[in-house]
Amino acid sequence: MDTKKPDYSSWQAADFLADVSFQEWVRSRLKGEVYLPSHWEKLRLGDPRIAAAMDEAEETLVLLYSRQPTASPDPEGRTLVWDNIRREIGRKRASFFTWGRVAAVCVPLIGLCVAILFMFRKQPEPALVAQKTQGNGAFRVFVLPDESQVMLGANSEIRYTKDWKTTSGRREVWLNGDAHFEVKHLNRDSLAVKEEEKFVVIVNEILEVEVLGTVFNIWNRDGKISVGLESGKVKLRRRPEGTEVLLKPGETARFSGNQFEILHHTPQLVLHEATHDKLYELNNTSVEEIVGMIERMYDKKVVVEDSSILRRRIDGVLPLCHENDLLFALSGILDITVETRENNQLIFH
Amino acid sequence: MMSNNYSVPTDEQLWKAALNGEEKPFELLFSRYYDLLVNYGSRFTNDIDLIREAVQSLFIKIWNNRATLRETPSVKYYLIKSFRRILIRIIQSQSYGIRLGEDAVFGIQIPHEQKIISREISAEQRERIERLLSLLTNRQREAIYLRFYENLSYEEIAEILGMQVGGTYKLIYRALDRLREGHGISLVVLLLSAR
Repeated sequence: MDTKKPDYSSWQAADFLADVSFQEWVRSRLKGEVYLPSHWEKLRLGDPRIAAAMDEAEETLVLLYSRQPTASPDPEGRTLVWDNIRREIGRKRASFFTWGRVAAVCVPLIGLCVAILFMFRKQPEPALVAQKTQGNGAFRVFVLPDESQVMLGANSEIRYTKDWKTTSGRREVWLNGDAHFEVKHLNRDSLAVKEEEKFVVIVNEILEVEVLGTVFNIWNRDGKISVGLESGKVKLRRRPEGTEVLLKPGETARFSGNQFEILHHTPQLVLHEATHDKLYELNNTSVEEIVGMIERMYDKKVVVEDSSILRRRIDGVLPLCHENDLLFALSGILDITVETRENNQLIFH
Repeated sequence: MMSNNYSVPTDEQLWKAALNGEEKPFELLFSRYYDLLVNYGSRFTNDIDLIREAVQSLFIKIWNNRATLRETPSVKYYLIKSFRRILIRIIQSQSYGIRLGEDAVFGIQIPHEQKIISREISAEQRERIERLLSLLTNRQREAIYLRFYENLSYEEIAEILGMQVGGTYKLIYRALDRLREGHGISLVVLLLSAR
């Protein structure tokens, strides 16, 4: 495979225009998504001629992306067509059930059993919702009741009350493991935050992360909790009562159980969209194969410091369409850190 | 397996459930994609009845053949590709003698209420875009549509248009270059002020 960095010095606007990664970069900015200080940013600062070509390409892309199709062009047809489809598939289904009387007897019986089961399964209030992942790469992306987005890493668990109410009125989520959060901003006045506008993540029962409209990651490694902030503002507090630390974007706090250590870099992993178009299914797939795929798909050179990782085999699903989600998921599964370097290099260690 | 009222199932999860004969996920998939398919279909024909017929036929086929269909990494791509094939066949059967084939007539209209972030596109900009798009071939227009409206990958577009990936890249490259040459308007200010 080709691992050398493209020689941008000869690139014209048209080359940038047609480049998938450049397109994604412009698109994510237009959608107001958090994006990484990518190599495109650096490239633009480096050479005025290249910057001009990039700007020109960007203008065209902005025009293109601004033309999205209208919503619901045919609401009437939608109902009409679905009615037809339902009638068609219902017809097939009805004929299926006429094969015997047995079904006529069995179905109500089964229904009764299910009803009884449900009566016994009813949970006491307040109902708790738990989301869990296993170690086999089964990361999960989902939306909380307040529309905040969470990507849960491997071997992790998150819990919250089903009706999303706590005694204090604030939004509370309990986490064990790794997760990426994009918190829905409820606060209108940042100087006077109401209790019900607060969003709090309690990590491993001992660390409280208090949030205001924010994107951040939480990792559990070697008995330490790391919280990396991408945008917004968070306050960390040791539980039950203890030291507080305010985190700024770009900073990562490492918490070892009684003290904080502030690092001035954020591991560059970002969740772009909670709804993934494509998932890559792994079936006893070797890490070597996955690394090869990453190199091909994203035109990156992957350096693996501990080569025994390459021989490991994993099952599960990986998000394919967004490089950063893919790396986030992979770092959780393999319990490694992924570092992005210049020259399109990724370091696994 | 614990179910959660709040999680949004992916297309692929719905697809899987639909293939198992579950009607609710199937309906959800239909309502997620109806608008998209009608929109795409309206680039080929103005006859809304033909487009509706194609959507209907697509979903009935999927349901009836669900035992033989497999899980797919991209439901969107699968639906667009199958829908295109069905629609073109229907259009052809309606209009004897006119062959659409691979070079189906593909137009793009710009909806009037569209916005760049929160700002209106001016009438002048809209006119400019329309003029620019008229410079492109049908295939170029369709490739641009699939890439920038539907966010399909170059590989998927190549499959849909029956081309090599390299050819698709060149097709889009030339189309984009033509669009770029045609406009000199500075929208950078717009983009920057939006952040």
